[in-house]
Amino acid sequence: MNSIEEFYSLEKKSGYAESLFNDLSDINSRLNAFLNITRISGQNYPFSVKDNICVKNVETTANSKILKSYLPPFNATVVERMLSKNFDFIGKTNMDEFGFGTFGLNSERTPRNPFNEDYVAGGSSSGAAIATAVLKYHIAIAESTGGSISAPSAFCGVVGFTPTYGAVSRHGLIDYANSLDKIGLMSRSAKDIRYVFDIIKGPDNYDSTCIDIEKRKMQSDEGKGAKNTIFIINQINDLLDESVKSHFSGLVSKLENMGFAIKTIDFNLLDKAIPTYYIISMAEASTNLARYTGFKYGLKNNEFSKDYNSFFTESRSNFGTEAKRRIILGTFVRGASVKSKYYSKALKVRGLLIAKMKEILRQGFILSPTMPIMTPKIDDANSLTPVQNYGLDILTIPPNLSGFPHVSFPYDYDKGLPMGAQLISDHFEDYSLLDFVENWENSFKYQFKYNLGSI
Amino acid sequence: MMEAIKIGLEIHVAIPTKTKLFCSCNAYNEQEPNMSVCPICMGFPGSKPMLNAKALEIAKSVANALHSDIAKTISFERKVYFYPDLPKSFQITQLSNPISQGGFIELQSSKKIRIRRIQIEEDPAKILHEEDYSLIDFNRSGRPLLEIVTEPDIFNIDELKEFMNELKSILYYLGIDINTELKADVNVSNQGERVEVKNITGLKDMINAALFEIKRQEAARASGAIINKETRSYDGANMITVSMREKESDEEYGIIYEPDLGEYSIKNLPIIEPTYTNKIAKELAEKYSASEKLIIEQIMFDKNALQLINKFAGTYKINIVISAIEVLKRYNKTLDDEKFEALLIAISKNVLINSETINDIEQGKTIETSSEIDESLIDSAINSMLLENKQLLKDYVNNPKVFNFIIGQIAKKYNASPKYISTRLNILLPKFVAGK
Amino acid sequence: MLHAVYIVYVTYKQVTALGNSILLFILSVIFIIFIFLFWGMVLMDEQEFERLLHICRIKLQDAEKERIKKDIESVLEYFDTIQQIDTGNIVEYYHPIDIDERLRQDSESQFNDINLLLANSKTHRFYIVGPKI
Repeated sequence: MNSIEEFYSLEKKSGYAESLFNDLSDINSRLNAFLNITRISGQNYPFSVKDNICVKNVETTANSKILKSYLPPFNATVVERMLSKNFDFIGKTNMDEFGFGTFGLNSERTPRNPFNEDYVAGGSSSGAAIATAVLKYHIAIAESTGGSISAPSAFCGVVGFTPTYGAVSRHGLIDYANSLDKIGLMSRSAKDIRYVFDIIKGPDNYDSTCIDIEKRKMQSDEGKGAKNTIFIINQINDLLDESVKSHFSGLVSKLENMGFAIKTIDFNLLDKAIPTYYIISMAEASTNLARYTGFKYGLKNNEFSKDYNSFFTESRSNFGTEAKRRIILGTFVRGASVKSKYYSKALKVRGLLIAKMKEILRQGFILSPTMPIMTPKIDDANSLTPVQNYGLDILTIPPNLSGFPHVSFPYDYDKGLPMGAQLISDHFEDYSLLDFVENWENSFKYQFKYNLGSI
Repeated sequence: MMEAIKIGLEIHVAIPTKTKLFCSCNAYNEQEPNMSVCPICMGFPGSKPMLNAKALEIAKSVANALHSDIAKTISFERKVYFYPDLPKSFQITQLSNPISQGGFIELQSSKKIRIRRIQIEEDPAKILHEEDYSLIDFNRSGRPLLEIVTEPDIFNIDELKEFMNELKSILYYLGIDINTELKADVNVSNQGERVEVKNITGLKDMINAALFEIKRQEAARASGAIINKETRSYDGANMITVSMREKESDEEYGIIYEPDLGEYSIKNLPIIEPTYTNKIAKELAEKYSASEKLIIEQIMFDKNALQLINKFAGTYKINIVISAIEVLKRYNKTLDDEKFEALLIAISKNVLINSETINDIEQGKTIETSSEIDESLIDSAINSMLLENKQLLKDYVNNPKVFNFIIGQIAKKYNASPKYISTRLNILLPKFVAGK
Repeated sequence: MLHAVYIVYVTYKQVTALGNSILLFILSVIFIIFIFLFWGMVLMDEQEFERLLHICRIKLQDAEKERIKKDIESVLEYFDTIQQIDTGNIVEYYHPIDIDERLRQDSESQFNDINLLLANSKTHRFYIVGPKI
C-alpha cells in the first residue's frame, strides 16, 4: 500500500485539517518551506508545487521579485492532471530565484534544513524537499535543470526523482533552460512516486518536446541495462569529502550484499560536464528571462513616459544578483563573435557526453553520492564564490545535461543529517530506478524529525 | 557590365492560416484589441509554442512556386531584441535552416530575379504611439509570416513593378490575400554601398522610396560625399527616406536554436500547384493573336477570369470573352457556363449590354437577337447625327467627352453595344473632322 | 599582462645598467610566474562590458559592477576549459533526446480566460499599456 492509499484508508479526526494547517504554518515560519500555504482541506491527499510552476490564479513568481503578483491565467499541465485526480493543492514551495542555485540561498526567505536549522536545505527545489521531510502525507511537484531535485532531496533525506527529459510536460513551467528543465517528484517513498508519476507523465499538446517514455522504451533498440549491475566512476574519488567517501563505501558494501554486481569504470569527461552545462543553461536562460520587462505581468513599472530602453533596464534591476550574472554570461556566450567557441562547442560536448554515458548505462546503473560534500552550514555556503558553487554540482550535472533519468535516495545519517546517493539509468528506463529504490526501502527505513499530518 | 542601380527586396507576406503560427488563436481577428490572444502569443511565463501544420504547407507551396530549393527538414531559432511589441523579447524565426533557399521569378523579358531565401517567422504585436506611453494590441502577435529575400537583381523601377506584380499574382493564385498590402524592406545601391530602407507598406511606397534613394545616392556621389552602408526608414507623408537611429540597427541578436521546438520534415507535405500569369498571358496572346497586356490585366488577380478565358477563348474571340468578363465585374454578377455563353453570344451580336440585358441573361431569358444591329445601320446613324449636328463636331474638337455623348445617344436609340459604336465612330469621326 | 611585461622590461633595463645579475634572475622568475598566473585570463575591457550590459538591458550599481565583472571573467575562464575537448565530428545536440515531430492542426480555439490574462497588465480601452516608443 502506498501512502496515498494509506491516507484514504484512515479516518481523520475532526479538526485534523485545522491542526495540520497550524502545525505546518508554525514550522514553516522557521524553515520557510512554503512561500504561501493554501487552506488545507484534510480530505484529499495534498501536493505542493514549486513556485516556478503555474497554478491558475495563485501567485506564481519563480521566487523572483520581478514576477511579484503574477497570477497565471492557466494551470501547468502537471497541476491540471493532479487536480483532475482529486489531489489537494496546499501551496507554492520556496526555491532559488528562477532555479539559479544549489543550496536554496538565492531566496529572500532562507530555507532551512529540517534536520538542523543551521544547515542548508539544498536547491533549487529547497521548499519541496523541506515540505516532504516534514509532512507525513504529501508529495512535492518539483523541477530540476542541473540537479535541483537531487541536491535538496539528498540534504533533506527524501526521495527525489528526476525523469527522462521530456517525460513530463513543461507546459506551465517558468523556463530556466528549455533543453534541460524537467519536472519531477519528491516523496518519502518510491511507491508514492510511481503512483503519481503515472498520473503526470505523458504527451501533452501544449508542449512540443513532451514524449511517451514507454513507447520510446519499446522502440529503442538499445539493450535494456542490466538491472543488477551498478557502475561507480573512478574519477569521483578525488572529488569526494573524506566523510562522504566513507559513508558511501558503506552503501556500496550493502548493495553488494544485496546481490548487485558492483563495477568500477573510468569516465574522463565528468568535470567537463560542468562548464558545458552552465554555458547551455545560461545561454537559454538569458533568452527566457528577456521577456521580463516590467509590463504585461509581474512587478509593474509605471514610468511609461520613459524611453522604452530605459524603462526595460529599470524594470530589470529587480532581478537578484545570481540572475543578473547568469543573464550577462548567457548573453555573452551566444554572442555572434564567440558563439562557436562557447554555445556551439558546448552543444557538441553534450553530444559526446551522452554517447559516452550511454556506453555505460547500456550495461547497468551509475551510482554516486548525490553531493560531493557533507551538508554545509548556511553561513559557509553563503561564502562560496560562483565558480565554487557551480563546481559542487559535479555529480548531479552529468545526468541532467544528458537527460538521463536519475533518483536521489537517503542511505545514511551523519550526526543527524541525512546523506543521499544518486542512481542514474539510461533514457526511458525511469521505472527501473523506482524499482531499485522500492527494493532499497524494504531494508532501509528513512528517518524523519517531523511527521506533520500523521493520523 | 557593372549595373549602376541594384535593388534587392525583403518581403513579408502574411500566411493565410486560420490560426496563428504557434497557438490556436484566430490569426486575422482585428475587431476589438486583445480579443484574439492567449498566454502563448502574449509571451506569458510558462507558455510554449505549438507549430501550425498549415503554415508549413502554405510556405512550401510558395517556395515551390518560386522555384526555390525546399529543405528536407526545418527548425527554428530565437532572435533576441527588446521592443514593446515583441512579447517574449525574442522572435521565433528561421536563420540557418529556413524553408527554402534559392529560386527566382521570371519577368516577361525572360530575366530572372533570383530569390536568396524564404523563411517562416512570427509577427510581433501592433503598437500605437501615444504621447506618454504606448498602446499594444496582441491580436496580430504570433501571426505567421513568410519572409522572401531576393538578390539585388532588380535594376530599375519597371522591373520592380513587374516583379512585385508577378509575385502578388503568384501569391494570389496560391490563396494568399494580397489586398492586405505586402510589407517590405527595400535595399538600394546606386553605384555604391547598399542602403536598406525598412518597413515599407505597399508597392506605391516601395517605388517612391526606391526612387528617392536612387536620386539621393546619385546626388551624394555627385557632390563627392560617400554613401555609407546604413539602415533608413521611409517617411510616407513626405516621400523621403530618413536615417534610422544608430542603436536600432546595431542590435546584437544572440541567436540560438529554439529549444521548445524540434525538427519538422517538409518532404511529405502537400503543395498547391503554382500559376504564372505572365507566362499564361504570353501564351494566350500568341495563341489568339491578342494583346498580352490586355490579357494579363484581366487574369493577374482574377482566377475566375482565367477560368473563363480558358473555357471560352477557343470558341469565341478572346476580346469578346474579356468584354464579357468586364461586364460581369461591372454589374457584380456571377453566371454559370450556360448563361455566360449567352452573354458571349449577345456581345458578339453587338447587343447593347445594360442592367436590363444582364438581368435577362441571369434569369435565363432569351436575348433579342432579332434586333441584330448591322454595320451599315450604325454607320448611317452616325453619319446622320454628325451631319445634322455640325455643332457636335466643333464641340468634339475641344472636348473629347462629346465622343461618349454620341455613343450614348446612338446606343440608346438602336439598343446597340457602345463598344461596337465606339469602334465605328473611331473610324468615321476622323474622316468627318478631316473632311469638314 | 602586457603591463606586467613592460614594467619588468623597464626594471630589467635599469637593473642591467646597474649590473646586478642576482636581481635580474629574481625578476625573471617573477616575470615567469606572472605569465603562468595570467595566461588565458579572459579580461573584458570596460567598454565591452558596458555594451554587454546594454545588450541584455541589465544595469549594475557601481558598487556591484566591479565585483560582478570579476565574477564573470573568472566564470568565462572556467568556460574556456571546454576548448580542449576533442568533439570530432559530433553535431550540436539541441536536445538530449530525439524530439518527436508534433504539429498542430489549423483549427481555432479561443483561450477561455482572456480576462484573467489581461488582468495582469495595465490596460486602457482594451489595449495593453507599455513604455513609450
